[in-house]
Amino acid sequence: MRNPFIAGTWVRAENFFGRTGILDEILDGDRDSVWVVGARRMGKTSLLKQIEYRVQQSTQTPFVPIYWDIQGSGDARGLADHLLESVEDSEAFRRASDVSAEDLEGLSVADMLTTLVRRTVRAGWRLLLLVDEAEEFLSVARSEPAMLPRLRRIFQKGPEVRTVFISTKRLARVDERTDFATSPFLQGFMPPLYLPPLADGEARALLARGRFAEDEVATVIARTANHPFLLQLIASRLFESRDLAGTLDQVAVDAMVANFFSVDFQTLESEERAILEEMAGEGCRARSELARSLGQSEEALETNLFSLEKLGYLAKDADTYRVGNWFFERWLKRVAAERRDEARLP
Amino acid sequence: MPFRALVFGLCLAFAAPPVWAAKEWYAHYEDAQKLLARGRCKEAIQSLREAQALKPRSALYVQTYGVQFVDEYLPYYWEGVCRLRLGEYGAAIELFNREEGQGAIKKRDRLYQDLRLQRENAERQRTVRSAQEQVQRLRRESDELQKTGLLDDALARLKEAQKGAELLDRDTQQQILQRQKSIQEEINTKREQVERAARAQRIEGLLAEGRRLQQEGNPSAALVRFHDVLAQDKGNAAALQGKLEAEERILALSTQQEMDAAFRRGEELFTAGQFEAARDQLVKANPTKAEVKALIEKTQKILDGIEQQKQLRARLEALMAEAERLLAARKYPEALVKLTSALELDPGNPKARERLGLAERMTGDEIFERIFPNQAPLLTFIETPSRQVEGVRLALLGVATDDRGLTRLQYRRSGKLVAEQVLEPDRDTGAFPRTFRIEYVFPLDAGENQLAVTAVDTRGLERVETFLVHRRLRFYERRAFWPSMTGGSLGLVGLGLVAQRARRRRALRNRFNPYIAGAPVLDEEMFFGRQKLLARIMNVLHHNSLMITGERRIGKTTFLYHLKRALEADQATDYQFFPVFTDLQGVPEESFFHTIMSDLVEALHPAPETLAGLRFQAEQEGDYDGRDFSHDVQRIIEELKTRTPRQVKLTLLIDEVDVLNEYSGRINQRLRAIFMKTFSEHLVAVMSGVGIKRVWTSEGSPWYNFFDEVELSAFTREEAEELIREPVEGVFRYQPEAVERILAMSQLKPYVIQKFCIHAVNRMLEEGRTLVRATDVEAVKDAVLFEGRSALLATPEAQRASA
Repeated sequence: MRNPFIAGTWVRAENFFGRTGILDEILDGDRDSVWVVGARRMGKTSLLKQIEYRVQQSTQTPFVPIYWDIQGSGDARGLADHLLESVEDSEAFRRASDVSAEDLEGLSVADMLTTLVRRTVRAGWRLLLLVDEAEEFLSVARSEPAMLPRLRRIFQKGPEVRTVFISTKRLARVDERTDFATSPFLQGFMPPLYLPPLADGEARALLARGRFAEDEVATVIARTANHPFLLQLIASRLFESRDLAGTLDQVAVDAMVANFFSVDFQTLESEERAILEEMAGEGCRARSELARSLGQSEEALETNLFSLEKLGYLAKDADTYRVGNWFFERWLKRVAAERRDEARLP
Repeated sequence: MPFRALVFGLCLAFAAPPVWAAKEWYAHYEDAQKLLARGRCKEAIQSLREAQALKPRSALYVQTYGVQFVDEYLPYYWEGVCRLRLGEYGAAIELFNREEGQGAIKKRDRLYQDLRLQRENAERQRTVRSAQEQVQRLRRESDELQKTGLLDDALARLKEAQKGAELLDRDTQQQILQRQKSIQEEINTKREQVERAARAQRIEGLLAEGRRLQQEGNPSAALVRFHDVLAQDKGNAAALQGKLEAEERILALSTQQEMDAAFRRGEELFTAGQFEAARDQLVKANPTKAEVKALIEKTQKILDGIEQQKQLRARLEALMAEAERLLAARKYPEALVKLTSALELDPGNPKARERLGLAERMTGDEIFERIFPNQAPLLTFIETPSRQVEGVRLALLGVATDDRGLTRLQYRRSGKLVAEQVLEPDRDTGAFPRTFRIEYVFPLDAGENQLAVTAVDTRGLERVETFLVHRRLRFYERRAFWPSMTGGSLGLVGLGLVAQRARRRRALRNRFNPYIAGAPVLDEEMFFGRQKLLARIMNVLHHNSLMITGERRIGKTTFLYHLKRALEADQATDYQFFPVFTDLQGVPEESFFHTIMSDLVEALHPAPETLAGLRFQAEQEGDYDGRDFSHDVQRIIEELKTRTPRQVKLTLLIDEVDVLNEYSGRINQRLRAIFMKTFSEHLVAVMSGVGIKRVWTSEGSPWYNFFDEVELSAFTREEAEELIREPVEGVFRYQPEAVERILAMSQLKPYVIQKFCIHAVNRMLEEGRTLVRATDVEAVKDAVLFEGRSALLATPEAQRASA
């Protein structure tokens, strides 16, 4: 049997596990503007690809989906180019909405979106706009601030279009700008849906592909806290080596994994980073202890603790918090030690 | 007259071909090649048949006459090619299998790959043709059934055709769906007509009964009938008139108390849920009162609803019963029609859904059976055993394949079962293996042995291959052996020594030095130490892209070359890899996508129609961007899908990927975007380089997130020893200390090992020895380490130039 695990690339269909609740909420819920927030490598792109796939396979759906990856767009022209590529990539969308890439060539992104909505509705459908790497709107806001209010009007056009943004928390910074008079860009998309690690049952279903022993499965679940990327990576390597201890040690010192933690860590706000560093230093802490250490009130900590827990950075056992998974904790400790060593140097 | 007879006789004698002029097999074979080149396939087949009759066995590098040789004699392959061109797909497949079974073609990589491609092509064409025939037949039958009014049967044929058309073009599928829609509409119209007529009849009956009851002095019962009519036909004049008259009669014949009492009873019964009894009472109440009217109307509505539900259930039950009967009779398409109608009446009916799934699956299976009739398993042996052998055992190596799955293999010697392998289905999918490697060693008796291998598929169909092998007694089993043994063995040892000395002398004379340092190692026999990693990568590559990192000169390029070969030869899974090698060294940013596409086009040879649809043009490098690349890759993948029934994996093997570090963020972003596309399910990449700078300034995710990193490190001690000793095995020898010194000083790095070996062997050759000594290694140490350091510090261009 060939290695059934997929680490790094997006997955869908039979390779996609879990997330039933969030999928149902996006597809069958009442909200037409949804923002899904997830940490890096938590399976954000896979979630959108699965939504696209599920809708394409359904005979009952009112939606026609289009997956729009906007990373690297930079400005309105870039957004238009990426949207055009999305249309070129999805034959199913072109067929259902009767739109061709040629119909859209040369249009601005706003006109392009308006055309897509109009043509989709004319064909008897609703447009399901799946926007990946939505942090790119931060770059667009920097280069063309006037563009966002125009796009927001289309994204929130009501029942004709359902818009799903998926990104890390950084996108929230888009509304820190106050130099345009209209409503905040994310108004209507709030509150966000959080993309947490997998549930135990979902992780077990995924690991069952490797036919591992029960104690191996339990250890992998305990160490990764069901973080999907870590699960897939460890399962893939374990499948090859059949040596759990060696695999865990290898992943714990893997430069690629360290880089992933480092980049992920930088997406957080400074207060959130301070909380995690404090947790890594001290292990399990109650909220009150944490507040004392950081010199903040418990109420002030509440929001950050909530989102860190939802995103899988922290785990909560009764009244105490701890770092979400073993690998991340080890990385935090290592970084803290390196920083201490640097500080000691003359 | 005698003179004329003589002239005629002489003419005949000259006209008749002489015996020595009869054509040889190679002449027929050569004719066939020429005819084939001119597209004259039928005549080429005739020539090939002649050649086969004279020389049935395929061969490579075979003598024709004198000292003339032909590179290859593969008559079945070429006949297969002719048959394929003539559209005789079944015959072509059989001939390709036959050629493969002969074995010779397997030693010519390119031709063998062509054979497999042509066979896949023939299988695909045969499938399409068979599907077309089945679909056409079903559509014809459907048309005829429609003409005779058997609409359900006509629809059933189309449902079946729809399944078959899944293998065909979209237009055909669309046409079938349109036809289904039109027949369904016709069925609906007819059903509505029948229902209308039945309702009219029912109304007539109710009116007649109402009138009769009116005349018999039972106005309340009559009123019930008229209400029933009005429930079905609101404006029915006769019913309205009858209702009016009945109400007047009730008013005239009943007292107010009686009517009030009837209303109260009616109300009670309504509340108790006895709607029919309630209506019977309510029609006796005062019809002029609004509350009476309202309650009658409400009751009537409920009763109508109940009646409709009853009718619906009855129809549903009838349809389900009919569907079950048809399923039991294995008439799946007909059952499909009934179940579709049942689901139209009750879309959420779970049983109907479940049975519909079954009917669809079985309809699909049936049409599949017709398009791909089960065929006996195929047995292909790597080598046909010789008719005469001497060993006490004979190994048969080969492979058994079957499209439905294999359940067992049996081995018989002279009719007696000597071994059986029962194959297990896959635990996840329940499917039996489609290919199985045959490796069986038969014990042989002296004299005649009949060896038979039988493969049995899941349907019980079997294929038997039999070989007759005569085992001669070996020389040591004969009486004359012992006396001659002593002398013979002494002679052999002497000969061996002489041969070895000759080989060494020749090696010394030719300055034999097989080590390679600098250039990629392309020779399979010189590829050492990476087999485990190769196997690991082959095991994950179908789902994952990889980044191979390692220091300079560690063997990354060599590894990519060998990975490419392994991927090309991989036939073991459901995936067909199409590897394409690209070297990014010296490629400027603006040519990045153009360069990769150029290599893709060159390696995969897209069909002219695909090529015409690409945005790629060989000369226009600058204008070709990531979007064009995505567009073209999508089309190339579509074409690759037509080349194989297996899942396509276009595999980009990109060397010297470090240049991406110098490119702008835009190109890196575009590269990432390609792996986000839907078609990227069919795309994997293996990149190799010293290291990618993990600096990503963008808000979003970096492209290298998609890649699992694999480090190419130095060899293990065993691998390094193998690299030192094996290339010169049997020609030169190493002193153990020499090997130890190389291992210690090279740090087990393959490039440095090869450098040591090259220099040490050269030194040995200069001194006319065949033994590499530790002193040789010591003597070349400085030169090797100097060259090694320079090479490791040099740019890749400089390295290439020096290589």
